Amino acid sequence: MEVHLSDAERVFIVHGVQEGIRNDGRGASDYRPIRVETGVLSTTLGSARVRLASTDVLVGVKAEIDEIDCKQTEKKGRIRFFVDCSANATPLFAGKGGEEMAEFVSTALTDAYSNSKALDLSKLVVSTTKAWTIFVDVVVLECGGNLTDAAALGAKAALADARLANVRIKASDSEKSEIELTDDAYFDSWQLDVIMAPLLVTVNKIGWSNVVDASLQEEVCTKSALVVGVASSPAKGDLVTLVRQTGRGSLEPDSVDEMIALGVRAGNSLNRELDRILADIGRTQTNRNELVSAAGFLSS
Amino acid sequence: MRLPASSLPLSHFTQSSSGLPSHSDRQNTANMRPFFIRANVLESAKGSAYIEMGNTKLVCSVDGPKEITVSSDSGDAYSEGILNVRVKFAVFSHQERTVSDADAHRRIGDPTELETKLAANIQDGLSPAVCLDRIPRAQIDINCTILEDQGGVLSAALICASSALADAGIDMYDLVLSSSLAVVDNDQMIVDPSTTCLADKPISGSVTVALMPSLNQVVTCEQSGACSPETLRKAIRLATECCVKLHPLVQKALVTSVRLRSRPK
Repeated sequence: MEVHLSDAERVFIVHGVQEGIRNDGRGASDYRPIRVETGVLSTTLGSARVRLASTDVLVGVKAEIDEIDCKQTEKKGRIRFFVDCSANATPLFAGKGGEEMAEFVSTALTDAYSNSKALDLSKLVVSTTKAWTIFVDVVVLECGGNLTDAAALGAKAALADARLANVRIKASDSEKSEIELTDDAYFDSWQLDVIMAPLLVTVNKIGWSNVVDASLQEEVCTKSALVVGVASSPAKGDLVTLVRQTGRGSLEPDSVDEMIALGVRAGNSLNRELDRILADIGRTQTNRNELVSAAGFLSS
Repeated sequence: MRLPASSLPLSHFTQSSSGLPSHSDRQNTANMRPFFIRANVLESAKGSAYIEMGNTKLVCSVDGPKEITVSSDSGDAYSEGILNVRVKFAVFSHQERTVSDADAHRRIGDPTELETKLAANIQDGLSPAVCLDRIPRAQIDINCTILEDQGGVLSAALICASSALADAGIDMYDLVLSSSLAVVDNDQMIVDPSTTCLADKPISGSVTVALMPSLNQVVTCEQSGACSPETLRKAIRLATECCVKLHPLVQKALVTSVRLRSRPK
């Protein structure tokens, strides 16, 4: 995020985008190359690494059994998001620098997932008083623009990769209950259904045009952006789960409509591609007895 | 003194709603709740305002421009001023005096998650409206205290804070007006809902829109829940129309406060 542009460079980028020409030759609704890998961390129940050009995020999913909030009418589990912008990502994140950005991304993820259609939280219930709480931790390794979208991609992929063990709760004599696991907790496990998990698409307003997936330089030229959370499936169509306006500028009401429409279109194709890749990964994980040695993911 | 580990309020066991008339009593769901605003309510603050939207009540005070005290990480080197927003919920503002799990580890006096989020939203919403480039290397303190939260807090806070800023004489491009809206499951939209009115209905989405009425510029557009893009478009349109209805009331409140200030004491 340490990008300094002269006025001439700013004007060059803005005028180019308004003509439909971005610096790297992309169209307004094109994403930069994305690489997603799952199962990269052995200490987590599910993990994913997303590389969106030079933006690099690592997401780990852990789960703990916790008391159900007795004030809720429906019994369900919880999901919590934490984002950590490490100082490696950019020197500006050292110390408390990355807190604002981390706060923004984690709030956006929490709000986008906080509807009943995203994840079926009632499946997380294990007994009348206990349910799983899922923790999704995002670590930003490198920031090359468009952190929000990369974090959301990572969160969805990591949740798809997560395996939760089947547990049985036995009520014992004392107040504490006993948790029973089968001998082979890895195989006696289940996965979350993430088909309706939302992805976040940041639509930036540069000049009078709207673009998706802004690079660092394009972000500097953005006065106002709209983060749109989109969930889509062939059966249920597109659903918008989050809209958040960010940036120091204001927008025309018509622009808001256009930006949301662009976000939904981009989110739809992003969702479909990610679902396809996750399905492929699921199919190729054939022999789970094989020990997969990590080749050092930061090297490739 | 520490609270017992697990205590439940009485309302958890009773089914009765509060005795105050609820929003659902109103025939027309396209009407907003009764609205009241007054500026210059606090003697000690440079600018202040008090707002009531239905049963949601909050007061906002503004101080500044003054020297920057909050550490910021932006590489801007403060070429523009900044807004420092603090939000506080009064302990009795909600039906239940609860502390959520997320807040269990915070120190007393630190803002809760909800307060931090609301402060960030207010700051984002007001920044486009204030002429920040006229106050470089300075900050404006905005303190919001929510006395009662019965829905639509963000909207009320934005209107109240922008009135307080105007009352303080801070240079602004325009006022900020806002309204919220809930989409109930059969695509029915309820404008400016209160929490009691939404208590027994399945909400599929809630939308808050803030705009600068004279310039017709949207400064905040927030949606949560899950709704189709078409429904969302209609909801944003409806919320924008409702914002504009409040303009004459806010203008009147500010004119009244100017008259009161200029009256010889």
